[in-house]
Amino acid sequence: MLFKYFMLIKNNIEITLLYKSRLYFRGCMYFIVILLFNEILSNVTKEQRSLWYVTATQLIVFSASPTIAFQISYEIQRNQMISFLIKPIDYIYSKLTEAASETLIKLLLFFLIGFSTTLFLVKTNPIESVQQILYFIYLIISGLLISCFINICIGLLSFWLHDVKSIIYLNLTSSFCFGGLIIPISSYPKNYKCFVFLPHILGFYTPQHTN
Amino acid sequence: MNSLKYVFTSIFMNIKSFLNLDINFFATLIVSTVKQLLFIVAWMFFFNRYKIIAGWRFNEMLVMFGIVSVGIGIIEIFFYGIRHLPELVENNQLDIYLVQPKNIVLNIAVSKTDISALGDLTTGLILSLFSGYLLSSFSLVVIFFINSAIFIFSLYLFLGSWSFFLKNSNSFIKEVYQNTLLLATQPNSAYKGVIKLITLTILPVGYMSFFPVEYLLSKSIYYFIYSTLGTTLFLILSYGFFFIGLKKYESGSSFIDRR
Repeated sequence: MLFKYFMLIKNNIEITLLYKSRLYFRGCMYFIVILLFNEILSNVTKEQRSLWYVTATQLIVFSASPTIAFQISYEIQRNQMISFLIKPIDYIYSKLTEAASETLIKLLLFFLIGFSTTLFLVKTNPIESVQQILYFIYLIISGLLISCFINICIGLLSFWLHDVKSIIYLNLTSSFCFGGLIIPISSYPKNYKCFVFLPHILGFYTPQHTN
Repeated sequence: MNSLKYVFTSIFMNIKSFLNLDINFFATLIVSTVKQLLFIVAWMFFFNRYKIIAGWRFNEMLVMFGIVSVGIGIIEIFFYGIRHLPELVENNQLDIYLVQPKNIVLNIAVSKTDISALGDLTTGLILSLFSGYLLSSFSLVVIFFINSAIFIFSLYLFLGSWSFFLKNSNSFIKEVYQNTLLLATQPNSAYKGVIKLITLTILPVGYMSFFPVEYLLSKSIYYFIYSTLGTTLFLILSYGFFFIGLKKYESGSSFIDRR
């Protein structure tokens, strides 16, 4: 039963790898964003280690696949979902596998780029123990899964709403602002820290907080 | 004259059809306003802590956000069709625009409207007002609003034209667009070296967000010239890029309605 979904993941990974130029470009964008934050942070603080924080949060943002919400919304509104209904594959699972395989490739690529770039810029290694790495990997996968589920749910709202674009962007923006993507949540005023416990924000905040 | 009449009629029809979706309309309007304000809240915390970034204070951030938001608002309200260019190319649905004796880019652009972008427009105006620059340099800020709208139009056209060269690139282009806006809405004054070069060449967001704010700060005429000249050049380049890409377009012989 599950075998077909593993095969779907395998196929989707192969398809993602086919579009190499896009992967390179995404890698370049991630590299640019790290440099960008390095320049902003070097202007305001001497504590270079905060770049690791940014690298970790951006790793999750870049690896997550918000486009899945757009895709589901498009397929529902254009009635293209029908083609899935006649197949012996669950629509939600197929979308989840599609997002998971793309996310996995991006995560590996961005991890390599992010780790090497930040190590070069900061020159201090943030890894202190093996448990820390395992904990980080576990949380990053959980965070990405939460993000994936939320995007699928937003996409499915298209059954009732004409336009879910704003909700997609609201989700993205609130994750950006309250997920600690611009500045660490620890420096937010006390009252605002309660937002961290919203599921989509928790997915971003917790993994990078292990650093 | 006929083209202008056509543009206004198309925009009017699009707005009329969108207003029929009462609840959806207000829901999207509120959400898009909240979305913009959230960004500012986060930056407010940042500036509360660090006060100044390479010469920019919170007010400069506000006016920069305002200029970018108004630009996005204007284009998405009146010329939202241009954002759908990758989708049209991907589904081979450009044919209907190609056979009409009208300016093709303008024809695509006015084919759709997104009234929810009123949220971006109003937020942009409010932010500019709060920054103090809208009142102190009204005409200049208005010029930069127009400049920003032209830039956003060029950006959509430029990125959308990539779809002629890259197959199945619709969602990829959306990602690039998001990242480009991320570059545009950070405190640009902090950019140096490679990043500065990128924001002035490959993804030239500096002409929309860096130079206008620097001009408002320093009143050096060079920044004004750089901004307007850079945006005009980018528009011309985007048009050129679109027509080069159009030669690669493969017709799907499909004539869809324009809803």
